[in-house]
Amino acid sequence: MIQLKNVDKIYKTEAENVHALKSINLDINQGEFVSIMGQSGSGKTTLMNILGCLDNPTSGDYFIQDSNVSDLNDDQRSALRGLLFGFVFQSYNLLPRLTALEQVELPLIYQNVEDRRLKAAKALDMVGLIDRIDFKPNQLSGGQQQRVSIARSLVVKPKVVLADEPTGALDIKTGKEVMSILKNLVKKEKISVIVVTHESEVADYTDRTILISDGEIKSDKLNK
Amino acid sequence: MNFKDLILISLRAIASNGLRSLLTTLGIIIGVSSVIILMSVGQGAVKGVIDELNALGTNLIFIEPGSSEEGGQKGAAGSAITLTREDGEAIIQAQIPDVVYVTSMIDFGAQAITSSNNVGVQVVGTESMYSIMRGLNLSEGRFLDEDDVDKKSLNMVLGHTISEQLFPEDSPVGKNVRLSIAGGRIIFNFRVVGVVSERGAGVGVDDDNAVFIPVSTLQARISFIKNPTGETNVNNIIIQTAEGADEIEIKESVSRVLLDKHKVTSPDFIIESQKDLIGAAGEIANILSLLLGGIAGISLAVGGIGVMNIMLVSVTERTREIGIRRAVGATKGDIIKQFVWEALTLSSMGGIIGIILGMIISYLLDGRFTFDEFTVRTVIQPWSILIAFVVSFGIGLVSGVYPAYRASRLDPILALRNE
Repeated sequence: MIQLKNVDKIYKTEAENVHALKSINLDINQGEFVSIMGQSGSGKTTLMNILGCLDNPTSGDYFIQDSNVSDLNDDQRSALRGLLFGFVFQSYNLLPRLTALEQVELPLIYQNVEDRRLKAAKALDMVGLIDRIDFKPNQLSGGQQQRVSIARSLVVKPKVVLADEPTGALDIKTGKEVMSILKNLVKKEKISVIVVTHESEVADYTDRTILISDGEIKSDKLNK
Repeated sequence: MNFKDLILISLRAIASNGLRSLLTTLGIIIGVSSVIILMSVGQGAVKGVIDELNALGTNLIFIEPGSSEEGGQKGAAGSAITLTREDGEAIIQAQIPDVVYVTSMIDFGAQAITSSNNVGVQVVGTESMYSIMRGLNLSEGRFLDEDDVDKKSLNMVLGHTISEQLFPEDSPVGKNVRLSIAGGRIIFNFRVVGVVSERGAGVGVDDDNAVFIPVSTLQARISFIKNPTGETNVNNIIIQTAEGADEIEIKESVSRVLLDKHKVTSPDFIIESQKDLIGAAGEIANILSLLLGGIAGISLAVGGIGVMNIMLVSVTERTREIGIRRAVGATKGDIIKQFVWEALTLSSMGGIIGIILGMIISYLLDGRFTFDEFTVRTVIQPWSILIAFVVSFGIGLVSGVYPAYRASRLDPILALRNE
C-alpha cells in the first residue's frame, strides 16, 4: 500500500548539505504493524515526516495506493494527511484548551464531516476513554493523554497511523498499554501502524522491524 | 473548515486570554469612541450655527449694500451707502412672485436714557413686518404696527436685556425713554409700547440689546441718514419668500429691479439667502467635524497597531498549536482564516463596544458644558457610526493578515517540535 522507491532527502544548510535519507526502498502493506528503529540523528524522523506527507522527498518516488505523491503541493499534502493519516507524538501534542472530545473532533473540522461528536466519541470509546470525554489535558494522566491522541489519529478512519516515540514520555506499564492499544488497531481495523522508536522493547511489539542508521536501511526483518 | 467552527475557534482563543484581549481591544474602543464623540461635537457645532441662522426667521433673503471702491481700493461690505428704503419699495412694486414680505432696516448705536439709567443700545429702525419675519415674540405690549410707520410715531419697542437694564423693577410699557443719537446732538423722547422676549445671542442683529423704532420716524427726523438724492439709506433690506419658492429666481428678479433702479450694470449690493448662509456655515462646520474625526482616527490607527502586535505574539505563542492543526489536515488557508478571523473578531468587538461607549458619552456631553457663551452640543451622526465600524473592521483585517500569513508559513514539522 505504501511504497518508497529510491527516496533521498537532503537538507540544505548554509554550511553543508545534510544527506538525511539515502536511496530508501520500502514497502508497507495494509494492516502491517511496523517499527522503524534507529538512534537519534539516524534519519528515522525524517523518514516518518515523508511517510506522513509532512515533507516531500528531495528525489525518488513515494506511492500511496499506487498513486505517486512525491511531488504534491502543500494543500494537497494537507488534504492527504487529513484523509489517510493519523499522527501520534511522543509529547501527545494536544491543545491545552480543548476537552478530550474536542481534541478528537479536531481533524474532522478540516474535513467538513457530519456527526463529528458521535464519531469522536466512538474513537474515544475505542481507546477506553469514553468516561473522560469532558476532561482537558491537564486533568488526564500521561497515558490517558496519549490515548486521546491515538483516538484523534483514528477518528478520520486513516489507512496509516504514524507514531513517533509514542511511549517515550510514559512509564513502562503505561507504555505497554499504549502499545497493546496500537496492536489491537492493526488487528481489528486493518490499519497500518508505523512506530518510530529507539527502544527495542517497543519494537518487539511490532510484526516487522526496520533498522535505520545514517540515513540508510540496515536491516528489515519480521519479528517472531 | 466551516464558518461556525471559525467563529468558535476565534472566540475561544480570545476568551482564553481574557485580560490580554480586553487590553488589546481597549485601543480600538478608545479610538472608535473618540471618533464618534469628536464627530458628534463637530456636528453639534454645525447644528448650533444652523439653529442660530434659522432663529433669524425662515425663508429670508438679505440684501446689503455692496463695498465701496475708491482709488481702486475695495472697502468692506456695507462701506458703500447704496441701499435705500425706496429700494425696498421698488421691490414691493415689482410684484415678484413668491415674495411675501419686504422690510428695510437701519441700525446704529445710541444711548437710551431714563431718569435713573443710561445704557448703550443698538437702534433698529424698521417696519411692522420685522417681528413677523424674524419670528420675534413679545413678552409685554405690542410690536410697532403700520400705524406707527404711517404716522412716524415716537413709539419704541425694547429688547429683553435693554428692558431689564432700563426698568429693572417695573413694567416699561407706557414709560418714556430718551434716545441720544450722535453723541447727544440729536435727542428724541420715545414711549415704550412693547418688550420683546429673550432670544439669546444670535447671528446678525442682537435683538436682546436692541430698541426698535419706526423707520419712517428716523427718515423724517434725522437728516444725516438721507443721501444726496433725498432717499433714506438703510443697512438691510430683508425679503421673506413663500415656503418652497425658487430662491435663485427671486434673487435674480430682485437683482434686476435694483440694477435698474440704481442705473448700474454690476451690482452695488449683495444678495444672500438664509440658505446660502446656512450652507456656508454647514460647510465650515463639516470641515471642522472631519478634522476632529481625523485626529481621533489617529488613535484608532494606534489601536490597530496594538491588534497586529498581539496577533504576532499570539502566532509565536501558538506555534505548536499551528503545527498540530497542520498535522491533522489544516491547509495554509485554514490557518490564515483562523488568525485573520481572530483579529477581525477582536477589533470588531472593540468597534462595537467603542460605538456604544461613544454614543453614551456623546449623549452625556450634550449641553453639559459651557465655555464663555459656547455650549457644547453633540449630534451623533449615523454615518460616523458606520464609518467607525467599517474602519475598525478594516483595521482588524489589515492587522490580521500579516500575522496570519506568518502563521501559515510555519513548517509543520518545526512547529510540532517547538516547545
